[in-house]
Amino acid sequence: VTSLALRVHGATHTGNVREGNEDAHVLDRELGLYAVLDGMGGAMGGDVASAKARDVIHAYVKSKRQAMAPRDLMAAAIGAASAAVFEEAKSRRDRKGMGTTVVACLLVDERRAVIAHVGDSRAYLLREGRLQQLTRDHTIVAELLEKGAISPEDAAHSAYKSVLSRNLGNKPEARPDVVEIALQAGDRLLLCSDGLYGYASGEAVLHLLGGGEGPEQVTRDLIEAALRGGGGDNVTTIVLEVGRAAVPRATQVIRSTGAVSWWARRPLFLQAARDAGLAQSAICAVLSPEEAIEIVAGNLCEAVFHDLEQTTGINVWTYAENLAHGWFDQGGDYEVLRELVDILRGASMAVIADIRAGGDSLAIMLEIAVTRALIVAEVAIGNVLAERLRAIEAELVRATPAIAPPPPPAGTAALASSSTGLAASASGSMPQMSAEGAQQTFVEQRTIPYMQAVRIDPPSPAVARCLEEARARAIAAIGADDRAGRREVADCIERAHRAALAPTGPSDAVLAARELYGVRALEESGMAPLLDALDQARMAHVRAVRELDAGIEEKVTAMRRVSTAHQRMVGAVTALVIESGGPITARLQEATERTAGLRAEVGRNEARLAELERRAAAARAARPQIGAEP
Amino acid sequence: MKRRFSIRMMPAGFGPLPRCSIGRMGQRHAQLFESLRRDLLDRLVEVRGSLDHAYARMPEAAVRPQLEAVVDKMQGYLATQDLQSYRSSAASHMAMRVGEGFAPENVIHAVIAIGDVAVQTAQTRLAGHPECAELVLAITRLNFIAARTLVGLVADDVRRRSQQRDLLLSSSQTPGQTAGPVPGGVRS
Repeated sequence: VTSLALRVHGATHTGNVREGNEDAHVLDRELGLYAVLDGMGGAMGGDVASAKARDVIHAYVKSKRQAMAPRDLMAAAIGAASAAVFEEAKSRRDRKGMGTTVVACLLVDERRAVIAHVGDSRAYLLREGRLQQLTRDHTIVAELLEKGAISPEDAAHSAYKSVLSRNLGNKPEARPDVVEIALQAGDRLLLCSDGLYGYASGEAVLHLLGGGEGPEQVTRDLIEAALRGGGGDNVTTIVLEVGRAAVPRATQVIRSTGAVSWWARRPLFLQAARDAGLAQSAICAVLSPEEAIEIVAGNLCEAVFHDLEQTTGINVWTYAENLAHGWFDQGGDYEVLRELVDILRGASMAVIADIRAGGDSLAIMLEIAVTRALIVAEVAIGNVLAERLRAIEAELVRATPAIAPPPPPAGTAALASSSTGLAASASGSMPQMSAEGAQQTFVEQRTIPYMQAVRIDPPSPAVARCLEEARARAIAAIGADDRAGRREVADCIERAHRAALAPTGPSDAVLAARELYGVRALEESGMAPLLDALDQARMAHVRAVRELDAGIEEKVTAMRRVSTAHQRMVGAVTALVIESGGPITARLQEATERTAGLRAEVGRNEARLAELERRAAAARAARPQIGAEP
Repeated sequence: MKRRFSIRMMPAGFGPLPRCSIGRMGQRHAQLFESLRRDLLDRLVEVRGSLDHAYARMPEAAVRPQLEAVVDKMQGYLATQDLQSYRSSAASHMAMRVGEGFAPENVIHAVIAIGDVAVQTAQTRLAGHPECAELVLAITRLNFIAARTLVGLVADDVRRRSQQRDLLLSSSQTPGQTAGPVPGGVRS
């Protein structure tokens, strides 16, 4: 077995809740054997079971390594461990019921590994950024799930999801699952107990395992992630990294050389900030110029240094958050803060430029890392601004009751008077929505006009039936039509139908419009197909309502609801188009002006060309006369 | 402790690299980015729940076009360096997401996270490629631009809302005056 270019590290932790650690692990680089065992039985000797199994497996593999094929060897070793634990449990009454899980990896050579397991300890493979679970939990719930007896949702919430269907110790023989995998350079294997994946999210595991840190750091980080997630169980992890070249990782370079190079250029950073006029920023108004440089620029330089050194972003985040909070609390403008950040960014780039003179590789790595730090700063400022936005919106809502209510729109005046309306609402007696016709009023509490809460009551059963029938008829009608875009029309009808039924009012229509519009910039696709579909949907839907065989009152109400839903959808889509088109309006204007200028120039040139042609024709006409002269 | 952002995702290792020149290399970066496109989209779909919790509830067929639109804009910027166009699309994206009820900071986080996944994919798929580092740098710079643009949009919104608040408060102090139209756009 070769351990060339293999880095491995393992660690275990009791967790935040348990008093003792019943996990055990094997780390034998010489033998190429790595294993995690999770004992169970508590007072019955879970720790004894895992330790016993660990020792037996280790001794078995060591003694039979050359004599047996790797897969058979691992299966036999686990079988021997199970028999030993079973015998131990049988020999002492206080240890009856003890057992253990195991997941073990035997490196056959540089390119192959054998993974064997029993129970719910797991093995993962990280390859090219993708995390794959190599083992299948031997639990009752997992087996029921595999047979299709329960759904994944039921499995996730089952009280029995930790009950093992197989373990080492409850029977003399074990039935391990054994797989052989081919290894590639850069692969990472993770062996872990359920104390890791039960408390750290899969995303966190993927992030940490694929994050470029060495196995030692990753092992520590994984355990920390499990502890932060609650740490309700013992947690053990082993991380193996296979076949990586000995080139220092960028992260390592940044943490060492990069951070030191950055800090060594602190005077340059401060000077660049000074030259760019940082001390003149309004944010530094209460500081002397030197204080401004030392405090504002110096602190950022130090925060970046610590973040580079520790491969984190927390220092820059805190710096930017404090700066933004302090400035905005004084009523400061974002533009001033942005200019200050730009000055600091410029100073950072001056440092990078200086480092680049000594070698491009480090400079590029450092620029990436420093730009990342500045992104963190931007996002921290964004968070502070978003908080302020929410606070201001809350102030707006609070400020409004002091203002006289706005006059109701002309179309709703009758409704307001007939169903008590705003005045009743303001006096505390909520209007009751008894009649189907009184579909709009002011509910909850008064607020600012553009946030006015509007509610449409659910339709009566008779109207709901009308709406449902109209929807079906409309879709059937467009279904007979073979034109392209039929699906979009049907989609519009469905959404309008839901909006017509919705008790929440126009918000459904607005949401429907946003879903129809999707996330796209205006310039990337024309709006005509969507607007055509909306138009066809409206016509088909209204026609279907008109043709309904129902009472006149129900038909009128259904028609009003359908029309309102369509109008709101079209209105919302139009608003989206305008919203999306805003940023490019200036460009269109500019293009139009340029086009007009070019057209004028073409006109002038054509006139000039015509004049030249006219003169040429005159010259040609004059030439024979000259030749005819004696 | 706030540790949403980390610069742990760094390349496996860089060899000697030529001097970075984004302007000259724009087309090359876009071509390299194109070679990553499928993997990047697969990866984005795979980790969509961590980009934005709304994506987690959406089926792959629905979420893929949305992510594809964002990736298209990134690629477009890498190819053309047209900052104005990229800002327009970022503004559209912000408007859409906020209109759907998302907090602005979540929109910023999601866009930055998409950039991070692009960086990670480039580092993984192009490990050892001579232009890997430059592409990663270009994407990181683009991510900074995205963050700056989106934060600027939130700042604009704060300014508008502040004006509205001031107007409302001043209106409330004037007897008999009603709350008329307020400046600024209407946000759903």
